[in-house]
Amino acid sequence: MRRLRRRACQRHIKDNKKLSQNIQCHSEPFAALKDKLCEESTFLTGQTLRFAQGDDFKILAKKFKRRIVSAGVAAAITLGTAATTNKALAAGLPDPHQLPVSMDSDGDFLANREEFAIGYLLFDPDQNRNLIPDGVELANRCNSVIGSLPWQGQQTDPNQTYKWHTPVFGIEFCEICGATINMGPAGIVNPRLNLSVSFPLIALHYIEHGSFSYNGTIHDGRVDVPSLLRVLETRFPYEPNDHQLPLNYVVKGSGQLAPDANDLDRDLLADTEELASGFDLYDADQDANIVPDGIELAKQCSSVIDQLPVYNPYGGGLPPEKPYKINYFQHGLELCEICGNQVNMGYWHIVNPKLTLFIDVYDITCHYLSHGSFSFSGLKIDPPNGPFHNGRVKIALLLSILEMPKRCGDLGTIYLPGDINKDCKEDLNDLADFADNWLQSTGP
Amino acid sequence: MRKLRRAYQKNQRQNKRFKQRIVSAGVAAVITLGSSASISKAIGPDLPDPHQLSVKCDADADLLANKEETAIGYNVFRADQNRNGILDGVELARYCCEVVKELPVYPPGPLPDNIYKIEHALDGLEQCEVCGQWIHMGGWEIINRKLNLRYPDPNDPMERSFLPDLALHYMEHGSFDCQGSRHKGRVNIPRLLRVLEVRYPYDPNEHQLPVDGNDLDKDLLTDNEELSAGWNLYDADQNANLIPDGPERAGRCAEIIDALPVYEPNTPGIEEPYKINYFQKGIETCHICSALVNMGYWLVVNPKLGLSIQVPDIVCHYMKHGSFSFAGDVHGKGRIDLNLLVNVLGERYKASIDLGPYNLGDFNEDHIVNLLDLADFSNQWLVSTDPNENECYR
Repeated sequence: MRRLRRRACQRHIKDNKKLSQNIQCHSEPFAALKDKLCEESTFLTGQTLRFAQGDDFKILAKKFKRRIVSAGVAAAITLGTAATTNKALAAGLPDPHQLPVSMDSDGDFLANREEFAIGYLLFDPDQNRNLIPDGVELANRCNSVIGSLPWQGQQTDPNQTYKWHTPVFGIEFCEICGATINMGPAGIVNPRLNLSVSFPLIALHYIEHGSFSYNGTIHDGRVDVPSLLRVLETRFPYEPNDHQLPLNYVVKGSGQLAPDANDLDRDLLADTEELASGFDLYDADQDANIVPDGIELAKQCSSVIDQLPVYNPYGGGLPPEKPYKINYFQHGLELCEICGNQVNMGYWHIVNPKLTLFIDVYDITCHYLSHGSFSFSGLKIDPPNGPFHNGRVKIALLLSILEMPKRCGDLGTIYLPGDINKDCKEDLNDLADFADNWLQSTGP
Repeated sequence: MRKLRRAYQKNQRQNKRFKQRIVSAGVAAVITLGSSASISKAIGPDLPDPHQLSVKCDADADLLANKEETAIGYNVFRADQNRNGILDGVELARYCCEVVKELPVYPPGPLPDNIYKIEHALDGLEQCEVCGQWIHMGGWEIINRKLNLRYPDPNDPMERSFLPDLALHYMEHGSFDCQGSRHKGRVNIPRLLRVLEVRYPYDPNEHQLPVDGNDLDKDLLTDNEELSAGWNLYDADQNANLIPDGPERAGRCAEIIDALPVYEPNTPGIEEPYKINYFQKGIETCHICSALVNMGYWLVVNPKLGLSIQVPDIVCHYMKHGSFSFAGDVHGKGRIDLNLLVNVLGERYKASIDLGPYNLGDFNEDHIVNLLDLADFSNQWLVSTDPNENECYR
């Protein structure tokens, strides 16, 4: 009996020792932070925290409640350990021309300083969530714009932006692919803004491959990204579409499609439309996804209209309680003025039974919405090319009927400061992201 | 023996579960940290003036609703963006009231060039429900000719044809809400700001001369200056403190130059920036306020970088008023070389304006992610802003 009791006691003591060692192990990585944490927790809780010191497990157990704060910090840091690998290195480099950039916190091939100057997010490598790093995408877009510019002397308008190149007697080689390129200087001039940017010709070769950094046998360096964007009058990497009609677009016989052409932030939403629907009229990209708000909103509306249930008023059933649409398509077609596609000349009658509101949306309107435009212009087939349905959607009314913003991520969604992953909820996933940056400093 | 065995088994079970519990303890700690701040912020702050009626769906309790802050580009979760101890909504209301009161009235007289107001006089009074004051029940219609906009909107739920005098009374007391015997409701803030061409509760100064070059974000810094300095040329208020970047930086530069030590030319052994007095026997008059300043200049020197710049006294005068451009009767009209000035002031300038960057999780923008941020984080623990779940964020 005594032996059994002794063995049980010994096991008990052994287990306690193991446990206390375990706690000590947990507390050791934070030893360096001890003073700082104590200081801060004193500020927050009015009590100085104590850390596990091995043998005083009993005291620790008694004061466990007080130490829950430090345990929380430990948990926060532990959760984030899996993501501590340098993101800049982790990102894949599909094209070897995409040279790594120094001082690039999010590894998107744009330096912090550049992102700061062009208003991008320093800690989000893929703001539009299309799995292409922002820098690569922006370089590709710049390449496309530069490609469309006339060479010096070929401009049709004295205010037109043009590119120039002065060939010199000599070539250099790309260090990546070995391509031969003239070693002379090149540049772009915007006479209207009285701005210009210059770079060696090899820079264009690298921009073509998605990189603003270049490395040739003679020249290596980086293009001045903010200046280049301003000269090109390009801010976002999205590919514009001809369907995205400007607010002052005029159709013969109908006049200007948009009732108001004032657009302070140039996001293709008129000021009066932004005022009526509650969007930020001072920011062209209020959700920072590097797509102008007007284009994004039009596409979101198109997607929501597509997903609405179709109700047949002649079918005998009761209409849905949520927003629905009724098909009023007709026997006839009309043409899109931009792409020439044929669409039905009829319309959807969209109803919000709760708000007792409705709007008629032509099929041609849906076509333009899907291309990112609230303005639309259709043409008759017979007589050919005569104006047919054209105008601009009443955005505030449409948004009310569709009850937008409806989903997390729709334009107008508000995110908490702690909602790091922008899923509209501050939860353990955000805590993990938070822990990832624990005690990281961005001080000058 | 049985008791001992049970005690032992119990103890063993507890030990095994300890590791599992540490994670839940962490989460508990996160929530605990925030508990001190969990009281609704909308109720928390003192409302010194009873006219400042609390606003529905106002996450930061600055008397601006979430939707309004989104529409005018303010921070939904920061009550006092310019850190002057006054709630943003209160400050904005008072400022808008001042602007409306100063607008020219038409008719009578010639049609004003841009923004003016038309009186809608009514034969009657209404009583303020807070202070009991009797106020004219009419108001003012505000017209912006350039933008072809008017206030109010024809569908405004409070009043379709004018901004009531009662609303101005409440705005003077720092509230966009008003409660009277005739008019009840809230001013359409985004529309009013746009019609007034006002964005911040910031009083511009006539010394802030318009810039000659391109200024995309209208912050009184030219695109060229912003490009050279690496500042954001698409955002007029980069540090979101409700003051346009140009006037803010001009003011800071003036403060730094004021605080520089004065030395004689060629004084040896100085490493930090200093200034040399080259004032002259003569005065110069400011074109705007007719203030008299010395016609001489300060030579600001950065010995470490080997750079220097002449800053005339008239320029200091304009910079104090928030402008890098100047107009005097000796130096004429001009603009200081901003990039050279910033380089000469060096680290002192950088230290004077905090433009970030701030890491993810650095909610209080103190450049380090620490327990203070964890406290802020826990404050919103499990709060949802999904438009489907929370109507305040719709």
